[in-house]
Amino acid sequence: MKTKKSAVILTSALLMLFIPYSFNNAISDTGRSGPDVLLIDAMKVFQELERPGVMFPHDLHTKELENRGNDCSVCHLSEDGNLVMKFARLKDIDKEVTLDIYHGKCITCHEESYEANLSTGPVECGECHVVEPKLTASQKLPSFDASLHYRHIKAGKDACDNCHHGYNEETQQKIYTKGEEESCRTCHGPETENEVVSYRLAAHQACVNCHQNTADSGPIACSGCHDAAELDKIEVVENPPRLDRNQPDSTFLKSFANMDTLMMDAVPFNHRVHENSVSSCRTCHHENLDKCEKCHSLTGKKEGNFITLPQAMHDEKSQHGCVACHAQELQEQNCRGCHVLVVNEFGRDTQDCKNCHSVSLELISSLKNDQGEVDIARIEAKAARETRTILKDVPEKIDIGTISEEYEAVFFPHRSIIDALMKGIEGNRLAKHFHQGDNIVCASCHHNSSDELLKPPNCSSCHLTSGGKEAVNIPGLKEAYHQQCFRCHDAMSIKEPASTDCIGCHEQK
Amino acid sequence: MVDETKALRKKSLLTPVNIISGIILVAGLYATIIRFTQGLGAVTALSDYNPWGIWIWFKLVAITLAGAGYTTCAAVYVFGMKRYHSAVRPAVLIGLLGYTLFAVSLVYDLGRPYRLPYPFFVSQGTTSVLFEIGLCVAFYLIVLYLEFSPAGLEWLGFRKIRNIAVKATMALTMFGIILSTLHQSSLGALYLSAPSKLHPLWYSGYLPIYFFITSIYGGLAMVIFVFWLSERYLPDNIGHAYQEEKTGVVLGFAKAISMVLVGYFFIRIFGISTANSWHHLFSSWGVLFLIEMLVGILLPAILFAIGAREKNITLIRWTAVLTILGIIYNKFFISTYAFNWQLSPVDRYFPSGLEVILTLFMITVGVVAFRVITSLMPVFFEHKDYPSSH
Amino acid sequence: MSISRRRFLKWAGAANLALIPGKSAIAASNRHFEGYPQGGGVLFDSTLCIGCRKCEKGCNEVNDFPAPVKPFDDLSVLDERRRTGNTAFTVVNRYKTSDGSDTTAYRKIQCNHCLEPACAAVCFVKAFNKTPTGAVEYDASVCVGCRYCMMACPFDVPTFEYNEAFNPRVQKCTLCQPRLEEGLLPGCVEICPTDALIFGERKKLLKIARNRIENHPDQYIDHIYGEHEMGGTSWLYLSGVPFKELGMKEDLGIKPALEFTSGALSAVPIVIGLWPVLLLGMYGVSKRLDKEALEEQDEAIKVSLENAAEEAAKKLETALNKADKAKKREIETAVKKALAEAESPQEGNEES
Repeated sequence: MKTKKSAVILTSALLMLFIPYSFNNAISDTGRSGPDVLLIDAMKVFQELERPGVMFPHDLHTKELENRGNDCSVCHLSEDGNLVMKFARLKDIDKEVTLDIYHGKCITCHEESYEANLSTGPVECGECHVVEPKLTASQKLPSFDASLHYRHIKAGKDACDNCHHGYNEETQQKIYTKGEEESCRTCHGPETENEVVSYRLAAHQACVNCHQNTADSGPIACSGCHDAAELDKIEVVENPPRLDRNQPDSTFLKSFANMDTLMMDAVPFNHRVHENSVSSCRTCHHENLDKCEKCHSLTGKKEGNFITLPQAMHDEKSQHGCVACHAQELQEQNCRGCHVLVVNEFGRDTQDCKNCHSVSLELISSLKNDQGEVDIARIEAKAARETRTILKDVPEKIDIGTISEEYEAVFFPHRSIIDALMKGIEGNRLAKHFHQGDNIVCASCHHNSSDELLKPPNCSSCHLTSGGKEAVNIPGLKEAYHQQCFRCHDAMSIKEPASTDCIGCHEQK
Repeated sequence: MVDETKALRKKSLLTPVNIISGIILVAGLYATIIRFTQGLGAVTALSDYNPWGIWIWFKLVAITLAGAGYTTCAAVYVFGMKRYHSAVRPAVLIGLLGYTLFAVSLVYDLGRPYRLPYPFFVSQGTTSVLFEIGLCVAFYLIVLYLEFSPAGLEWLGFRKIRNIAVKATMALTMFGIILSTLHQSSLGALYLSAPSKLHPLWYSGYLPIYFFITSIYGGLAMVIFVFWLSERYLPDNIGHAYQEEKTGVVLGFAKAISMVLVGYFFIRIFGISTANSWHHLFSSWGVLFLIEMLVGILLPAILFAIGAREKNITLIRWTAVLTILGIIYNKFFISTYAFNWQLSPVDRYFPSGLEVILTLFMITVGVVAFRVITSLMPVFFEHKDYPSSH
Repeated sequence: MSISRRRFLKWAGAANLALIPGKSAIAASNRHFEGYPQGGGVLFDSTLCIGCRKCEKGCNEVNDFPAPVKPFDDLSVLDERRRTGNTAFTVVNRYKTSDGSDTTAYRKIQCNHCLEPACAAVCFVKAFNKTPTGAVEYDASVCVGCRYCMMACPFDVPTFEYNEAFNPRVQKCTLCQPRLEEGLLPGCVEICPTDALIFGERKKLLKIARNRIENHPDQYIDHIYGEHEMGGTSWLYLSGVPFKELGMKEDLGIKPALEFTSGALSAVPIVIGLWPVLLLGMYGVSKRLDKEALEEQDEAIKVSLENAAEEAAKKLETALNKADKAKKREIETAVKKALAEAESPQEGNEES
């Protein structure tokens, strides 16, 4: 019957509509992710990409070319005896030319290899411009830290101009001036602009060429600098000698309100110590080696992205400033116990500012020696003496007796706890500097109280023994003790006694 | 004439259908006793995560298919299509049995069925969709029984009361349509309260409208299906007027269902569009959803159209079955499978044996009641005292 | 079957009066309920919770529940994910978090005492009531056991006494309403050793929570769960890890549950008002069409009858004319014949 047949055909047609769903579209291609895989998206400097960028396995090509007795010059041009790291051209001229370069060289070579029965690559558009590539790039960026820098100095026999250069606009020449060396990224940004090539290009140009031209030097293959495992193998020099770039040993950070008055008390800043705490100068001098105020004025200017000086110094997240970096140190296990308890340091309490802004103009003058230089170490030593005075009076143990009908008193080994905390502080220079003075170490537990820490107030003055109906942000006594102890133990990863182990701290009655 | 033919045939009560029905009825009675002496937990696999199970599924399907009553009455009395007149009483009976079974199932499902009058008389929760459903269903049950009363009264021979009852038909029909619109859509609105628990392909702000439309085409398809079964298995009950009109009924209903299905198909798609749930189509849920749309809605629409044009009664009948299966499928997802779809598999629901038995029990009770009533009362045939009633 | 206009209006009016709901749901309005002014709440700070299960013990004691199979200091139960139950109005669950391999966090689950509870919105016997103290109260004396509340609760909190045959109740945390009235704290809040739970006016708790977030921004996720979720809950949560990792739904939105169905409910009076008009209209139109069809039929019959009569008359005329002509011809032929016969005998006579 006609209608039955048409019904069957129609039904099958409808059913076929969702057959595609039942297929798992997995072409079982095992993907690879490596440091040698490059994303070719050169066209994006001209226009928005029409097709996805090409994932290019560089090592595969260098090996294959090596096997055929070829070298880098197959793909890379040379200029002044150095390889140009761009593909088959010196610079990007226009869209058509660049496109032809890529398609011309790549596809032709692949076709010719195919004719010659050698292993070859794809020629179809979609085989290179893959929408969801299984081949992906994973370059770990090497950190050119003090150790690595020192090894390069040694290898280059102290010739800084091997790498460092400036640029003379008039003569259009690269020049070198001693004492004005900067980081590469001061001029070479993430993208090529006008005549200044991108940092990536500049780095490869400088590093790879030098490594190639110098026997027994650094890596040439991608993985040598971009593979995590190989980076770990790089020999590290402990305590490399200090770089001399006319930087001060120590200084006072200050802003003048007028001729002889500071905005706030000066911050004593030990530059030398900080040089050892960061991986490179760029951590703080993130654009160039000038003073911060050059770009970050008090009210902000364009060069500094309109970030004012106070913002730059005190920003809680930026690693370029002081506060964020110090705050990170507070996350260390030795420090966390107290520091999870105290309120956020950043500007809650006027006392906080004095931790850094501690030196008045008069004190600066008095600390200058005969040569007019200031020795900050003297300030530090003075404060350290004061701290040790008070701590010897800390009691051995305390019985926290006012608990409940359910439990006995807690035996609290006060002395040994303080000793452990002090050990952590003494071992850390930053901690020592900020834990000067009478009450700082005690203040996290004996909080919101006066400086008379030898006779701290009774906790139940504020922490009432009964819960109370009124919700206030002050816990009851039981809760306060528990919060204090548990939080500190948790933060310092102290597993015993466990917070849930009631009788671990107080016996059952 | 009907009685004579009946007398000529000697029928044994022990047909296979009757035996199976009997077994289910007995098992159902046993399960009923357990339910009311030991509680819901002893009979169902319901849990705190899954408070509603397949009995809700049954209730939804029963009410949707019981839409046969108001749709047929609307066609005949409001739109004046007198050529479907012989379908009215059977359709009303379907409606009546569907709603009665709904009420019976409710008695089983409620924790305290003896408090059923509470929402009406004791404490009215007027913010609740369920309250509105309760009110409308209660009124509609009365309407259904009143609409069906002429058949019963004819059988009982109460002429005067029967004549009064017949006069109320128009008003009852209109009242029934209003009530049906309200509660059919409110059954869909029940699920509006749980957007985070119902899968986005089935959850939509348009759920009330969807449920209402399914009741229209589901009711009409149910009429076709029941007619088919009745002609096949209860031929002794069929009367003259029915025989004359039956082809017209099937063809006419097929056309109507086809158009409603097409409209419904589109508004389901619009629902996905307004909720921007397209990406859900590309998942295994999407496949299940597409099966419902293409095989449960679009395909029947096409087949009904073909059947109506070719006057192919067999095709129409089977398509009616497909349509009803589509409704069962849709309500299954909404009430059970796509509900709590994000819950971990250990917490998901699977019905217990007694739960299934009780569901079959309720269906069987309905079928048996239908058989008994149509053989006794003038539903498919005209009572000899009232030849013009059809 | 006709129905007089008067009769219909009488019925429609009566129907409308009967079906006006007491408190209609307002679908489109700007009203936002922020809780009763002194409504209480509880702030749960997950960073302070150590998973000791004392709160479960407190709840159990306050409600006089039987002791559980595993005692409350058995922390191995935290290895499984639990939910509230008939005699466990609150449970604590342990969650592994993404901070590091060893980190865990705890969450206490109980009724959140929403400002506009879904359970109260959907209960068709008004068994749930949001009290001015902040608690959402359940009245077992009217409950019918339909379990719509369990279906609608976005937090899956209420439990049902499935094993109770005659008087099954829905069970959930009561916020210790009787204790609150005596000035006591809820059982769980009072016993918590670390103040992870604090009870107070909801407004104040919000301020405290904001304060904590502001003072310790690296310790808290910047969000108070329950401030706006589902229109706001009385139980507020703070956490140090994303709330999703504590098993809390983050896709609930801020619309109170009531508003999901208020649109559908508000359509009820419209249907009741308009459907009779529509239906009567359709009925009227169909009757009118029937009448017109009948009239057309009558008209057609009349016209065809007239036409038939005309034709018959015409036919008769032509037939009569024909008959006339035929008769005339006959007569003429007969006359001609007679004349012809008359002339012929004269010719014979002349010849002899």
